[in-house]
Amino acid sequence: MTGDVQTYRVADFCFEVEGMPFEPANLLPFKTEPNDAEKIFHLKVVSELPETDSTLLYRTPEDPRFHVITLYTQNNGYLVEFQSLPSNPVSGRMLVDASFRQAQIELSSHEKVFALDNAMKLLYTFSSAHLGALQIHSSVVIQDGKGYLFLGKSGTGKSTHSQLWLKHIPGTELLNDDFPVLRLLPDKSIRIYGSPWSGKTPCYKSQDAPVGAIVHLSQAPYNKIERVSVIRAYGSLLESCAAFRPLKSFADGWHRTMEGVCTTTPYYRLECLPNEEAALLCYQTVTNNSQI
Amino acid sequence: MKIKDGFTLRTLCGEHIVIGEGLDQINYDKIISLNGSATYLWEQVQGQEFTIEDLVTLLTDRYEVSEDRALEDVKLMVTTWQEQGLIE
Repeated sequence: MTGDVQTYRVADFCFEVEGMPFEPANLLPFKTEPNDAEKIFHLKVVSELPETDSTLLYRTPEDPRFHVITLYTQNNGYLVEFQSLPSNPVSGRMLVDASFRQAQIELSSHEKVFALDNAMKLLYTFSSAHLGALQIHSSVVIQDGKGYLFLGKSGTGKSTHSQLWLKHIPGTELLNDDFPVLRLLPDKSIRIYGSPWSGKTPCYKSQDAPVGAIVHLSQAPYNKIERVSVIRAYGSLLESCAAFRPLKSFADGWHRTMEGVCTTTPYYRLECLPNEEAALLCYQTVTNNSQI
Repeated sequence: MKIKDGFTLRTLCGEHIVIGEGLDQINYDKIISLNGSATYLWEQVQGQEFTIEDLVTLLTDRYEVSEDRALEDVKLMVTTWQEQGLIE
């Protein structure tokens, strides 16, 4: 055990994890001293969960390539099960209250890191839903102090597009490659924050930047970029946000954030090839800068 | 007929939209815009069985519109809702 309670700060929200058998490396940049700030959630690792009656509520769509999360309703909240693939056994079971703020997890003997990481990610998503935060499936670069988000379906080339910026646009840096946290702040400004959840790319940065633009990518045999309407921007966010929308009160929170984002942030659609010209066209358009 | 479970009516910048937020396997990418009268009808019949005639009555009670015109509009709207998979 690595001591009792560890505190982490992601996108300026603190959370606590108690009784971890090890500390995942992706959390280290976010570690902070114990503090009095309100915690968005507290997760405790236990050796055995109490028995409860539960009813199946929701299971993520089954895809042989992706992990599965199954949600059950029980007494005063939910039971959540994590599987790294549909064909693998359950590697963690978590009991959580209805607000997703107090949770206990029981880890199996295998894939503990996977279960713990996904439990935190899920708790983070839900417990910050009312606070103007969204986890957006995207690759994010920082250029000249502003964050640029690249969204799109899996396999579209989000990471590839970020890599093209890194290679061809001086001064570009990668902030996150999978699930950064976006926040709509009380003054209505939009900021993007690095997170411990960065997919296959180990890029765990406790940094943030105001959002310059959001770009939704799709593959094409040419390069073309255009601004999109608010409703298309909303649709793009809807398919890119980590969220279980069946729980309405949480969906209401995400909706308010998404509405704030798509009405204030320059939002583009980029149909592109994986080449230098695509990166330059995108950069010049979204920064309104014709020079490199 | 009935509006399928899992669709939520929301307001986006003053416009009314319907999006899938349910437990069923709904295409989450899909967003459907509703105009003022369609929004009114949606709110009235959500969660219950209804007929074309019910919708026509709702329209003629609320708006200054002839029954023939209302029937025409309702038929068109219902066809669209069916095509978009909103009703069953």
